[in-house]
Amino acid sequence: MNISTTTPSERADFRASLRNFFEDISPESRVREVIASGSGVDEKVWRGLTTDLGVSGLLIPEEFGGQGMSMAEMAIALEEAARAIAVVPLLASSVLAPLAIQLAGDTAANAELLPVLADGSDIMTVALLDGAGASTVARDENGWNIYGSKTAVLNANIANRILVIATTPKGTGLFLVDAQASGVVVTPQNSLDLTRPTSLVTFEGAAATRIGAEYSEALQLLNAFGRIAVSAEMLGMSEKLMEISVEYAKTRVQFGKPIGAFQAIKHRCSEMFAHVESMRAAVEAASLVNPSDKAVLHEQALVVKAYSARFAPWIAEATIQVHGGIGFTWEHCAHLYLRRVKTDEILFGDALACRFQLQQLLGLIA
Amino acid sequence: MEALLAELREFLTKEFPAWCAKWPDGEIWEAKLDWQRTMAEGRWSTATWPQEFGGRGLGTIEMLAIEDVVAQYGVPQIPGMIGVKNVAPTLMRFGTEEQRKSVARIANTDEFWCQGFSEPGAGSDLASLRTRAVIDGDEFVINGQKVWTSNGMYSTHMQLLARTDPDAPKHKGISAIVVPINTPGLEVRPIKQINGGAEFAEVFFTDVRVPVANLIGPLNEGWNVTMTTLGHERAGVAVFAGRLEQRIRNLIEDVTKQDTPVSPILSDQLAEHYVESRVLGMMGSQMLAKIADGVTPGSESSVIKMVWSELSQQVDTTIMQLSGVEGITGDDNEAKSGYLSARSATIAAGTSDIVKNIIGDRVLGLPRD
Repeated sequence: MNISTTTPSERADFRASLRNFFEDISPESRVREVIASGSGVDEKVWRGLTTDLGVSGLLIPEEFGGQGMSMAEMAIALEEAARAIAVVPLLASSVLAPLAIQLAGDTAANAELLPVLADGSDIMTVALLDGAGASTVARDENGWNIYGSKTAVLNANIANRILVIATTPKGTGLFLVDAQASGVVVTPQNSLDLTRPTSLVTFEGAAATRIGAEYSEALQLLNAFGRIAVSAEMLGMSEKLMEISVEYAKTRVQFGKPIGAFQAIKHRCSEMFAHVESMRAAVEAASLVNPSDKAVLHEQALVVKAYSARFAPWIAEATIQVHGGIGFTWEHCAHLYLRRVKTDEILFGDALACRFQLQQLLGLIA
Repeated sequence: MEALLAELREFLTKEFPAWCAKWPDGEIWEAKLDWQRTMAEGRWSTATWPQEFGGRGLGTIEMLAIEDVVAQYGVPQIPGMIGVKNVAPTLMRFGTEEQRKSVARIANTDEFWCQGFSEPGAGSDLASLRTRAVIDGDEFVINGQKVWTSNGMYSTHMQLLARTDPDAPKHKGISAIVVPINTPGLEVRPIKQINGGAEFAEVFFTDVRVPVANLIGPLNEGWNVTMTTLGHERAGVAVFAGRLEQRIRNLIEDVTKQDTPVSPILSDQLAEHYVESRVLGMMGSQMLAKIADGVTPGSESSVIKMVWSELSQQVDTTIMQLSGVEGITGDDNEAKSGYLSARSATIAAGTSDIVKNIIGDRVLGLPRD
């Protein structure tokens, strides 16, 4: 992946055009329609993001049909998409999948797989978390076969192909399986996040193609990028939640005045603002790190994830609190955000897990 | 910039050891005043002052760079900071020719100024202050009381805010007045703090008379006169952010070096402080970058102040926890007094509750209570 070559002004323009796009095509009513349909993807929004705006190719080099951009630009796209909680496989198919593939350094795989991710004609996801029980293993049985199960696989129900991190006899490997192949069973889960359904994917001797060689170091980097990506989502949602709360505090009148006049509500909103500004500073710094500065990237990713994972859920919960009873209704959008925020909190290590790794980095823990 | 900082380093390398040799106990007041004189002679403490007033006419970014280098050398803080940073700029901008003569004296400690602002009945609601200055012929007659007057015991002069028009809306009936401390009727008493120190004073005014010519700026315009010059103080919070980040790094490094392992919960707490200070530091850097680009920061300084106050207080609380028994016996005196002192972090220079009100009202546009 490249370092950013855009200016802050260009990024601001990019953000504005994305915001307009999502407000236009993916308002809350549309999001709810798509959720109710059970399709798991808003085709119109996905077409717009892929074909029209080229967002799916941001992290893919131009030689493979992508935009050749960096995490700085993708962070903006993730923020704006999450702000609208648009029902699209952006994280899975345009961030995790292309990064996972490129980190393997397999030129044949790049040439074969990146172009169809760049134009959005193919949807892929990455299966990272082992299901309960044993770890997912790959055995070389005249060709690789995968055994085991992966949980919380984002958008697996709409993915054509699934990238799988599996244990190999010598370490870790990245493998590609066809979602429809025999030996692959995709079971949608009753996931918390309604806008990005997850699945349990079980492998019973599923034929797989290996991408690249030993993958442990690459997996560390993938996790780092994953942390930054979900933090960008949490930032986008946190800002929206704060705006909703402030708007409500200005308009909801009780005891003869808007409730935002009461200090408890006012202070809650101010604290939200402080956390949003802090998150913004951290996401910006992390997304601008030169990917070849691995140690810096690793530390910044842990810091931004640790911060966002702690405070974005607080903001979502505080939003419901500010809204009182209506915040607890299905009809109000707060819970739609809460669900995605809580999911992003957990993916790639929650605050506690990230702080644990930081303690190791700092020498507080051996 | 590089040439400037090189000159500064050369200056400090020469002057600081000389000062240390001269003053075996660097903590005494005289020693600190002497250091301030040295910094003033070098035009370093006054670097942002206009050259006509003996400064270097430098901007905020250069000043922050200077302060950074100065901090690295571990030299004492100049005791007359309020005079140099707040009072002198006010006099330069609004003062009469006579008042402006104080500017040079403020730099070299011939005069030592304090600000008479807060009162027992006017803290967060400063504009409600009631110390009264009545015009009698060509004099003001002043009655009232000020509190939390920094270094009032050492001062030669006060920049007083007093009510000169009780019928006007509260912000519009206040005047800024120069009051020499040795004026009859003025009494200074130190305020003892919970940590045993006494850096502030109460000041009592009983029919204190000063010439009307001591008025700074127009009559009843004291609020604007005083508050305008606080503007460039904002950038200072960005530096606090960076210093707190460094403080926490140092703390963690010390903890890793100690023999007894720290409990997992305290270790996690340190990691939490690390995360928050890293993020605070990023906000600070981004704010400084904005200033360097000539953009006036907006809400950043309030947010940084709010976050910095609470985090630095939490750090002192953690240090106290880490010290365990040694903190409560006083064997670890630094932890003990640091903990007590930290109670003021969320109160001084604007309480956190007020800062949150300001963010709510002015940044988010929420209705006033």
